[in-house]
Amino acid sequence: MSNTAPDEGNHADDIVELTAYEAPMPIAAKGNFLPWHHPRKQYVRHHQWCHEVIKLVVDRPPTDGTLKYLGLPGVDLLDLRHFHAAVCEARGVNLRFLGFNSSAQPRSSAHTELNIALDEVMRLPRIDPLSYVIGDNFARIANHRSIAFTKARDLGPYDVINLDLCDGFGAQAPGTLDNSYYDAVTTLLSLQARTKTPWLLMLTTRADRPNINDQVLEALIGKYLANLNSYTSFREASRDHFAIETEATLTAATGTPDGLLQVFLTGLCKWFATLALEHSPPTSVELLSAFGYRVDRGSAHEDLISLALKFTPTFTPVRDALGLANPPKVDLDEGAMATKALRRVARRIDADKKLAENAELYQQMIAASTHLLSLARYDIEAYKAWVQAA
Amino acid sequence: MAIELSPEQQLVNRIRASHGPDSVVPAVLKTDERVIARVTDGIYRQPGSALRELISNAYDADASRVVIKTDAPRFERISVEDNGHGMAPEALAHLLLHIGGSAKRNEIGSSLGVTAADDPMRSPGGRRLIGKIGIGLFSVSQLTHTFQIITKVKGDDHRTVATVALRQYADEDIVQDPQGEKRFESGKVNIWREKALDTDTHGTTIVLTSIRPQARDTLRSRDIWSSIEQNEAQSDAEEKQAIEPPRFHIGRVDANEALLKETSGKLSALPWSEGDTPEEAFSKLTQSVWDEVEHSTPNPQLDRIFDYYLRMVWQLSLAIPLPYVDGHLFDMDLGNWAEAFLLSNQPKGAAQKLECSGSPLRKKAGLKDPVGLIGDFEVFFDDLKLARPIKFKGLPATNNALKHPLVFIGKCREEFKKVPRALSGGPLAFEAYLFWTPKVAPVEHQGSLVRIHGSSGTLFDPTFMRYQVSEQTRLRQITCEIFVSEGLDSALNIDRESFNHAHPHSVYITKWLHSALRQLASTQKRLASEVRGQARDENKGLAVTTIQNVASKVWKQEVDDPGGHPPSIELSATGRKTEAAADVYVYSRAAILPDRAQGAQTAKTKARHAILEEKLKAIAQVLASFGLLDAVSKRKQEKLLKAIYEILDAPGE
Repeated sequence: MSNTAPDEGNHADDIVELTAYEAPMPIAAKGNFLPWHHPRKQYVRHHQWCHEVIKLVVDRPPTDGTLKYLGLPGVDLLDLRHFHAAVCEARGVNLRFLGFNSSAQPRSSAHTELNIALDEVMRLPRIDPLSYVIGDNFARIANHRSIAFTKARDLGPYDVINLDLCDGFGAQAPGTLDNSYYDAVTTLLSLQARTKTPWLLMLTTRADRPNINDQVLEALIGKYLANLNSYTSFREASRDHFAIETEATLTAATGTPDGLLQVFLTGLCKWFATLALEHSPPTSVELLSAFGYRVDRGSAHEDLISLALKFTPTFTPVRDALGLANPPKVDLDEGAMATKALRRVARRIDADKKLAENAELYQQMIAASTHLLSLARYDIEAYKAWVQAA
Repeated sequence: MAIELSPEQQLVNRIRASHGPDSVVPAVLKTDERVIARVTDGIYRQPGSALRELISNAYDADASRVVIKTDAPRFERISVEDNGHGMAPEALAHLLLHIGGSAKRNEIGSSLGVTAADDPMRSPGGRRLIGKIGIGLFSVSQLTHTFQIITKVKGDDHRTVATVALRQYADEDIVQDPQGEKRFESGKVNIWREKALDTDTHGTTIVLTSIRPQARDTLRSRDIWSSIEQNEAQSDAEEKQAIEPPRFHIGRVDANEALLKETSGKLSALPWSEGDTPEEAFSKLTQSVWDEVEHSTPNPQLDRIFDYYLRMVWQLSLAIPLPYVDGHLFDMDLGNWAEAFLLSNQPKGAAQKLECSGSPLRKKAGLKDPVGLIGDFEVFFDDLKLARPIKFKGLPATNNALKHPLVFIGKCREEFKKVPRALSGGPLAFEAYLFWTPKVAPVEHQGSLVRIHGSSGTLFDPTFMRYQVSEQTRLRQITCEIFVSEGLDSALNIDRESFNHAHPHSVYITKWLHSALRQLASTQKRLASEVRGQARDENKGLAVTTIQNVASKVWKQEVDDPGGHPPSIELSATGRKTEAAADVYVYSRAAILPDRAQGAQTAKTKARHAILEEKLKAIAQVLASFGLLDAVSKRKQEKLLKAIYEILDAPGE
């Protein structure tokens, strides 16, 4: 007979971890294809992500031969498999990754599958043994006492940070959540301040109106307006590319899907630039490219955007209080940075359109996706049928 | 005529027919014997032992690299990944249906690809096996209720995956086979095959997925932290105990397990820094113990300066076949930093001086260890790359008259020709060193460690196999490793953490070691007397107080070392040593002596206080002579000396 009420703790608690005597089962047949299995995702993965990473590696090969990467891989680790083949093997560099995926928690339903995928990836020849997948939510990084932060700090700083968010980076209200994306990214940037070499940030985010918080949008519009007023070059570029020149045209533009996208993306780049400029040493931010496609089929414009940003720390000599030395002044021109970002937003690549117009390219992307999925043991025939039906 | 397949062959065929997660083969883990069922339920005392067994299995599978990852300090998931041969479905089925009925070291081993074709005692690659019996894998029951195996052999176009749930052993649960055979159910397993395009890769990954709460608490050093937390919660300052966190620790999680709690303003206290390579990090871990000797505690104990995790990593590094952090003693040219002697294998023999500058010890003395290790063997454990944390060179200076370490080398092969093999257990061969130095750190390295083919589950035995002579202090100055290359294996008990002392090989090694200790003691005493004779002539006329004399006399009697001096006692404002020295106990002056206004003292009281301080130091030296000072933590030592001082200082009535 039990001596305690059912809801009270007793000595029998916390002795046995499991509740059932059963060996875990695998997740059944891998026939469920998900949005990131589309060939257009492979287009972004290869023609934007890999393209920029290879450029980075070629410009300045990592000193210890190991590219450090922080990302949010899916349970099948497709990005890591592709980077390994297209960057590491092709360019002779090793890869050390820190991945955030909730399946790394032993109680998660996909844990068995993640273990198999990790076994496959860790055995690839150019993967560093310290590579790790952590089960915590990425946003936890924002808290300096979190295990997520500690791990991110210990394995960094990174050459590439790839935040492939399924939801909107700008969807959360600012200053409300404990561990928001904004806080997490701010923390990441401060961890990155330790690096002296250029690094990449890839950010994939929903960019449609329901996925942008009102306050965030307002702040970004404010930033855009400030640039219109402060920098002639920015104002001219904005007029030429987006027909936005005044507060009135800006307000009108954000009422249209097209204008909203342009202002949101340009404003977002400005936000990163402002953060980076405050760092010591100040860091310049360049939007290398923007790719987009439609998650919502009815959408007139790309509603998912992938930005590739390059952060370049500057060298600042110490200030000479006596004024004897005459160090060259590091001049990071915020206006020029903003103007450049605006032009890149204007020239963004519509992946859906690109693939629709180029049948050969589309076939290449199907073949590449099929190969990646076969490495992850998906049913290839089912995949081909799925792509056909899509 | 249909041939009836064995249950094992049937299982193999079903696994081979699996083509993915849609065709899982369920099975029940079986053991043949009640005793083995009991064994697989956990025979080890420490969670670390299970990891040691998994690493040993990887070694036996000819792995050149093992990577262990934990989610420390949370400890919900631990994975062990090796690049060994991996297991074909046949080997896996055999393992699961005959737990403990190891395929290693018998004829079946070679057909399953787990042992060499011509020698069941060797791995396919030629390594001497260090896994005792096939219970190694199931030693994980100490740590977890469920685990996942992912394994692949070279050339296979599939991985074999198994998830296992272990059953709690209970005496009344006996399963009857259809054939009426008594079988013991040890757990349930799901097995399936997964396509693999990386045909050439091979190896095994084991993921422990539901760590037992008890084991998790141990790994988290729950005992230390809960007493600290209770103490922190004490509101009354007087009630607070002198409980200190370990000097080095990995931190502790808070209640929701995503965050770390601060201790003295820090989330963790590690001897290495972020950005260190795994080799650098391990080297700093080893050095941290010697830094303690030089700057804080003359006799650092791992269980005081490390949390459980760091201690476990340290012990694993001692246990498995690995290179030394600064190289093998046998590979060193002792040159002008140590003296070498060759031990006699005769019961009444004496050690002979070995002239060995100019070439490594190995060459001079014809030493072969490590003989069993073939190919590289690297072990990564989270941030660290493991190596044997034993250092021989560059140890801190002491005030002992002998300034150089003494190295005693042994080589021995005993055939037991006078007794039949059936009684002796066959030949026994080993090499050994006894390394004498005034200060051996950590305290846990004072003793003898027996390795069989490079592996040891017993760690250092501080009694030197029950050596009865009371030479407590000299024994604390010796680190000894015995490298067994032939025999003794069968004297290991099933947990591989203790020896059967009645086995002829155990008895022989015990006798040999005790003889070696006698040879070491007489050599060391002789050398120390010579040096002291010279020193006495030089120091003639130096005044020594009566108080110091008492302490010195007691030390020499207790320690039986003509070259020894009692350790210095230093009271410093900072609590840290003023200069690096190995045998100094340093305390915070404020923690022991009362706060006195310097100006107000007369010359007479000043002189009285100086004498009191000298007496206190002498008492501390006497306590140290009997090993009593080291029996308590540093904070308690300070409390003890404070109390003694107060008694000395109290007005006599």
